[in-house]
Amino acid sequence: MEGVGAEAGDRAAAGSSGLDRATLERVREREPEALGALFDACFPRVFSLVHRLLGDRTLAEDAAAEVFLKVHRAAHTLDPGRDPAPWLYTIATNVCRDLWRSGAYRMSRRAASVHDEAVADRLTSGGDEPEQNLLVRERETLVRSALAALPDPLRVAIVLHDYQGLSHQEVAQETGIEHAAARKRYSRALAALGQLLEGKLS
Amino acid sequence: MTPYDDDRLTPEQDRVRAVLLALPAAEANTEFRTRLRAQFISGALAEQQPAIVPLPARAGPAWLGAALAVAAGLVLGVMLFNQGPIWQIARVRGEGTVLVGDRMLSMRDVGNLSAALARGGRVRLPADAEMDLVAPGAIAMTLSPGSDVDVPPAPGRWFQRIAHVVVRAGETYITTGRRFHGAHLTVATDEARVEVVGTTFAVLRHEEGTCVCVMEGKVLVGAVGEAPVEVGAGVRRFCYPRALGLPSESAPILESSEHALHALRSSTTRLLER
Repeated sequence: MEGVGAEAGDRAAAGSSGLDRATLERVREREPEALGALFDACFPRVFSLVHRLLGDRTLAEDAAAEVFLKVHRAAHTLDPGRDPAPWLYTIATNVCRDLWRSGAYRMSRRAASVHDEAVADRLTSGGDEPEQNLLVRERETLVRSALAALPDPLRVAIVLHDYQGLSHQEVAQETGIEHAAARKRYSRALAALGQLLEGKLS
Repeated sequence: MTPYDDDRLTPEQDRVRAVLLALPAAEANTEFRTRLRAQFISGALAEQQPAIVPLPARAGPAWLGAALAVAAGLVLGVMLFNQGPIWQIARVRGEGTVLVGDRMLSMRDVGNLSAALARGGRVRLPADAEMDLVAPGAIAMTLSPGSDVDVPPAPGRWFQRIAHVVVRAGETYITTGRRFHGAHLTVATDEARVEVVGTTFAVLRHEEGTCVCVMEGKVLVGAVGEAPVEVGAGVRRFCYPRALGLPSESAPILESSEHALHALRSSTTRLLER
């Protein structure tokens, strides 16, 4: 029985991060090798999450650094029997919320800069098929801009569900609302995004 | 991408979702990733100060604060202007110490007595002293020796035109002035409640009960456990303590009350006609 339980625990720990229980226990001890494994397993999704939530590369780098700072400080609280990914998503979402309330984010919403992909892409786009690349880039820019224009709670609903792969139930837990409200919010977010993109993606 | 409960999406929502899912994931700059990884593993990152400091929740627009301040100022101004006249000590007789609220004051210290009673308060007179109080234009009252009375603030100019006197012990003679018109005065004792709309009357509270003597106008006297009864000029109504179980009685006004009320009336006419 014990063996089966331990195996199940290992599977649960592995989750989407692919890290086993032993590694996570060493993360709790802040062993460099284990920390490296955690970083490698989680960084791409964390960065992708904060980038989509914030819509700006510079802010996303700040947020990612903040997330891993908090992870390092709270490593001893990590539950090695569970997949650490949801824990990291929670930290990342909270960091973004803090950022939305910060002066830096408000400034970035007022003025575009060459660090914004929307602007930078137009300045640097190229490749083997310049015309095709340009169209694709423009389309991506439109969608990113529309996503960035959504109110924060709606953007969180879409990013967590569609990009991070959380169920509505998990999104509800993450954002502290009811399951039905999470579904409704997601539906409203898609409708709002549809309005923002209307006639622009033909 | 997700097999979760998305069965209720409309075709339009499905289309938007497909557009979203086609968006490639953003990749971090390699140099940034390498540097962050090294800092994370070495612990150098944890020694840094947090870079993101949330601002306090955004306040409302500046004009809203200004408008609220102006509105609060207006309300305060109206409240101040609405205040009725302050009580003045028209006359004191006798010696001793009077209690106004928790303050002990000499009957001779009229200045401090007036200041302490300006907006009313509980007054307990010594056994051999009495006092005439006037809220100019509105109400005048005589508190007899040994009185224990809650004197209310005078009725407001435009609203809160109500005053509620509580006679705990002793005799209180009351008359109203020109500016009292339209206001409402109630006087309560343990045995009775008197409602007044403008008149001259006395409420005498003794151990045997409460006697209401009406010299001018009329008042409603409601004894505890009885329906209110209208008491007109020249009549007194006596309400017994409830424990005795006796019904209230009406009779001609007491001569002593009539004299005291006349005296009050004549000594305060000038102030009440303001």
